[in-house]
Amino acid sequence: MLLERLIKIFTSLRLTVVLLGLSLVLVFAGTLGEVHLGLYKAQAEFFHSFFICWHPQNAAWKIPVFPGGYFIGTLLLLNLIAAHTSRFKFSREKIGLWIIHAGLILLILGQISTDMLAVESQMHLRVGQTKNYSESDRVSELAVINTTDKIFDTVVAIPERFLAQRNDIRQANLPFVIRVKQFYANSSLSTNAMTSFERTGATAGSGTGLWWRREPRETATDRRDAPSALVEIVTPQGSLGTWLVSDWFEQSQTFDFNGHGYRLQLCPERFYLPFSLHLLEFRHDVYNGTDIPKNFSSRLTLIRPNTGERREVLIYMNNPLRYEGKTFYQASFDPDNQGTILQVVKNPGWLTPYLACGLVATGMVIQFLSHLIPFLRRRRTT
Amino acid sequence: MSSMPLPAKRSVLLNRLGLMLLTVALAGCGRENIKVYRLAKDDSSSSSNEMAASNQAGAVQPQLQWTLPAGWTEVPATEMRLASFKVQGKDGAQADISVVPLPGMAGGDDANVNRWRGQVGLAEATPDELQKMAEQIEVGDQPAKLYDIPGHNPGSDSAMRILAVIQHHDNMTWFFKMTGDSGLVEQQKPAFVAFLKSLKFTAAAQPDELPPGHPPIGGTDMNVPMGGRRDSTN
Repeated sequence: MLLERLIKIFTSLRLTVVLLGLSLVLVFAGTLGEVHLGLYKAQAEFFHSFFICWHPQNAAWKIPVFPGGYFIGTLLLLNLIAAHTSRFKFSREKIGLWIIHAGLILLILGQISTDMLAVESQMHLRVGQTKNYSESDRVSELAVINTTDKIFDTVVAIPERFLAQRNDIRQANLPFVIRVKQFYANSSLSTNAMTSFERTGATAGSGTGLWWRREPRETATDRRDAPSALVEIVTPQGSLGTWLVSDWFEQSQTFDFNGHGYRLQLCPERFYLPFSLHLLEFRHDVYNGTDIPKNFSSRLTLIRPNTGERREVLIYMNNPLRYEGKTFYQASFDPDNQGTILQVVKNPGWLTPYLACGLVATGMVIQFLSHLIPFLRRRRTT
Repeated sequence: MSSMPLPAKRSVLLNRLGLMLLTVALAGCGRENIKVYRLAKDDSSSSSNEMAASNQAGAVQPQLQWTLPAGWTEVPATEMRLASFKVQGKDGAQADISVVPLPGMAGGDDANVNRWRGQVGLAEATPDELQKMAEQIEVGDQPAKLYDIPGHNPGSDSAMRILAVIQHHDNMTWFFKMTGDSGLVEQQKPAFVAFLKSLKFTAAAQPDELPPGHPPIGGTDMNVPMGGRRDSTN
């Protein structure tokens, strides 16, 4: 029976060895690949994928050449669970092994959940600045903000991958269509004609009279892409013009339609928080007489409007702020020491590696003792 | 390795488990969709000092007075420019002059100079080299740095030059650039420097109150013991 054969393959130890061998090759290749692709692209292509694909220059087709991280990881997990349930009957002698395997399964499941659920972002604060949001350092979004209401702004945040598809974007809250005519994932703008720059073709807003060009994607970890897009706002009564939206623009662009005011801005993806952080002071202490850093710390006020909570917190190296399911780490700072950059990590599965390692360690100790103790007993009686 | 077939219940369980995990793994792309949310107006205006500052800069455009050098003509300024001029020389040589104020650090001086170097086909310079290249001049009555960047137009290989001046004051960065044919720009350099010296900044209305919703800086209404207070959640 096919099912029998499949189960036999999945429970085999040989499969485990093969998969572990493949993962060694994968890690090696991924490390080398990082040199050219940069950290994030290498991670995405080698590890956050089912297959590593190869394609000749400028070809649209590609073929899978090697299993990727997700493929190997999933098979390892299935193999582990299959072997575990089929081979080990639950008994007192085998309890140690059970715990070890449970720990390993928890570790892999924890890593899958981290991959799927964890969100990392950054919060850049200058001294005296207050922010209630953090920003992605890799992904941008087009924010279309309805500013008509006196108390609330309604934000429609469109992730950049929608712009990359160069289609029409329709959304229930928007009474117009956003027609994406061009999108550059990384771009440069210029106020005058330079080589390889083209006119943006914008007919309204800040982009009229500007020139732009596509740039290759950033691969360094400390630099990010600056995308730009040419969008046309199409209403039932006609077009409101073609606008250039760009990460380079610090100000948003405004227009009116049907008595409503709107703002348009392409900026790093924002994650709003139910509280604000206000930077009081950033310290960059060095050892006396040297340039060697001794301490980086940010002193902040945490303000929570709906509960009235308002307290001072100190974030420094190895001492993050854990609040509301997010962890705020001291990550970087502005060269003039008047600004701090906090890394904001949301990872619901953060405890799983600790629990998993604890389980594996406990299982190993139990397994070891379950052999040692009878051995010692036998020695004593002979 | 067991060669006996598994009991039926076990194999069904394995089957289902495998399928479930595969689905979970495949669905785990975590792709973002369009988000819609509401922000209290105070949030969106006070959440960023830069935004507030640039909005105010947009509303109260800093004004500039200048003495136009001989041979220069003023041309309509585009969105990012406060003022725009052009000058023409012999044999169709042209140069373009722009005045662009931007809030804050506007990317940093070194990054901008290296970007201009790239535009005339030069390689990036280190911060030390850039510091040596900068000439100190005056814009209005304030100090500024001038960078003389000769190169060539990467497309046509004709000699091109950029004179770029960066000045910081009042939390704004002012860029004054003359770009064009190398010979003409070199000839116009004294006129450019004199133009910059003649500039008068009409002070923009400086906001002396904080953006709405901003907590008082210094936090005088907080009862926090010395040394800060750390919660058990830290």
